[in-house]
Amino acid sequence: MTSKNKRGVAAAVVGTLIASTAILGISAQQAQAAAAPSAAAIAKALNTPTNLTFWSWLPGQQNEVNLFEATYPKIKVKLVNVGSGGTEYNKIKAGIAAKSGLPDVAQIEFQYVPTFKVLGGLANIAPYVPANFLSQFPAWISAQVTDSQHGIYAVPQDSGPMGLLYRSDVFAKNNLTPPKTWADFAKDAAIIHAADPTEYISNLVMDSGNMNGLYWQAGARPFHMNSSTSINIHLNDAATKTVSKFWGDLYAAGNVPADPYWTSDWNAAFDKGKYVSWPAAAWGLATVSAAAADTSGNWRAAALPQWGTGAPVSGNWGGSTSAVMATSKNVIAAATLAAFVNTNPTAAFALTQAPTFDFPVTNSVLGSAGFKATAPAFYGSQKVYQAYGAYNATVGKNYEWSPFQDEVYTLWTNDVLAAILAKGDTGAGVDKWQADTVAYAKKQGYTVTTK
Amino acid sequence: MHNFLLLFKETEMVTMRKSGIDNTKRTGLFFVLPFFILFVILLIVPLVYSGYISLYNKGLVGGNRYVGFQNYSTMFHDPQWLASIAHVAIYFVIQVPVMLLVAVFVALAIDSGKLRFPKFFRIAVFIPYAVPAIIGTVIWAYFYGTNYGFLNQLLGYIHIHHVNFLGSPMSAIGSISALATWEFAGYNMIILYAALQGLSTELYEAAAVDGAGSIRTAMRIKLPQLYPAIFLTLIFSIIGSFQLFVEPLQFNILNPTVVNNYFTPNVYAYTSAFQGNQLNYAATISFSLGLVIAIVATIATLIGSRKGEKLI
Repeated sequence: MTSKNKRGVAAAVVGTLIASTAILGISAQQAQAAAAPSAAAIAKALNTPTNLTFWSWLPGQQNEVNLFEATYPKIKVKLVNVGSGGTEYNKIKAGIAAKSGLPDVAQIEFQYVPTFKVLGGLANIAPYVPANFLSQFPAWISAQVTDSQHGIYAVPQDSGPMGLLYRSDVFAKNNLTPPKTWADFAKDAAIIHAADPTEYISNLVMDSGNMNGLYWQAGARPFHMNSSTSINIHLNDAATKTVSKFWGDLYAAGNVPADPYWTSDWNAAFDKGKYVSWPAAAWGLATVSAAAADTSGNWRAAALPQWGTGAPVSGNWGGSTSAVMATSKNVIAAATLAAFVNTNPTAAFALTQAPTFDFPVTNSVLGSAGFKATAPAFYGSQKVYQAYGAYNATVGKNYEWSPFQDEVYTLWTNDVLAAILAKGDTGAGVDKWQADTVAYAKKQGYTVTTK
Repeated sequence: MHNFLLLFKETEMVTMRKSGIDNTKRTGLFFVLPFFILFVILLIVPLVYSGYISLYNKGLVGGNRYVGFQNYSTMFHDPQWLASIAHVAIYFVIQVPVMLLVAVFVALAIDSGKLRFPKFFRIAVFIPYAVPAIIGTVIWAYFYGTNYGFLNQLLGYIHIHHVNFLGSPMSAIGSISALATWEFAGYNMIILYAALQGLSTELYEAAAVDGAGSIRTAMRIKLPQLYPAIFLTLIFSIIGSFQLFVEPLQFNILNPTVVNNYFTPNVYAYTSAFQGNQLNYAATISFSLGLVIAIVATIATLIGSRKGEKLI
């Protein structure tokens, strides 16, 4: 190669490297704290032609988006389903690291709000919504989207108060009524499986979110942020160990099978009558009716079995919010969109109907006659939403999520679920869960207390 | 006319003598440049960046700190990482020979001329490769269902019930191997079949005259000449099998405690990055895996060329 060519090649390589580092965007973006804009400024922003992107996997979300666009004709919303749950969250985490590629608003479940807040991904929309915005939700709901500085980081969309969905025909066949206590549940499990080996009172609770809701019901309060850099972790309390041992014993006795959730096998099991009940969240009403068409009319809802004899207590599993991303260039419009699709009376009611069947979080919808009267044929015309509304009122208070809930659930699968499936010492499994989580939190730089 | 053409050619040759060689090289450079730019941006830069961030640690609290080779030290002592390496090593030893055997057999069978509808078989065996991996794993996840899966339904006819195809790490590796063979045998078969098309047919005629049947011809004449192509598919398989990712990630839902978040190095890196918010550790795993694969592939190539065969 001649020296002229060598120089040319060198220039090309260097140029490519410079270009590519620029493309990779190693530029810092400073987040500007916004002072609360005036009402006039907000109105002006909502009257400016704007394009918003909204990531949501909620079936039927387009209905609420259409209502929004009709009310604010200058704002166009592109609704995209990029995948549910973890699939969408991975894209958001990648977008936060790359500081680009994020939508204006995204659907984020309650348990991940602290995760994305700590990564700096969520915008504080308190300046853009009315002053008493959070008062329209039950206190335990609004507590999950705010902080000690009264910022608002997400708009609650639906929640997952837990109850027991059960086959009234199979219970009647066995001369049983829905169990009032977990001790009754264990007794009924033995009776049902002995009477018919193809039937089980329920599947083993193999889903981390499902089990976490049961820990919540039993009184577990594993996380508390002492400060932004210090966290209290107490996963191995008595309540968690009791619940884990309960299900470990059921599985060891052979009275519940261990079928992984969310597979075609699991759906078929509901349909074929393998599971006679399911301690499920309100959105489970839609899951069962979709999976088990052959058993229509035979399911009912009851309160979760109780541990104690006092006032009934429930737990929560899931529930989503609409959160505005910190990188949004149209925060006012985005905040209005997030608030509208979840709290505008028409939109909020639409969320509870087909095809979404969300359990509402606004006090007005929770209390409305139309909502309480819903009586699906699949559930034998029982007023299931009214039932779940009652359980909703008993969900245990003061539950706090960790800022790394993903990892907590992964460790639960590897430590606690593995112990249950090995028919081993569940207490040791829970202790290992605690130890691994504490080690992880320290590795992430947190100071850890374990009261 | 003839004189004009001669003149044209002479002028051409004169021009070529002066700057022809430089011209050719410059043209070559321009042809390669688009690939080279993309190669650097999409491969070299991420690789270097990955190696760079593997020397740091950035937690949720405390920002970015330089830690030198501490991540590598952690990794080498991490039982989960060691388990993931063991899984892909076993997977490599089981899956690759089986798949290559299938690919060689099918390529030779189609090439033998004894098969009816060879074009149909070529396409049919190749189609699984054209199916996106995600779709393939969803289909096979249904096949492997413990209670109502297709395979268990078939086994039910001979009174075998509830076989858990992913019940242990070894059975999971076996089940994923079956899926991977279905996915990739066709791809390797096409490479081998193309190589077979390049062989000279004189030897076949000589063999036929000597009374060799199609099987003898395949084993003694075609197969030895196929070794370079088989070696190529082996290199691809080494690179591919150590990077096993999509199939275990999709099968996690079928048995979360067995096909878990550290089943293979790439799955471990992915879940560390996205679920565990440990991007530096993920970079450590990926970077070292890339290094290991590069070394193994290089050694394999050197062994092959030492044997005197003219390879790639």
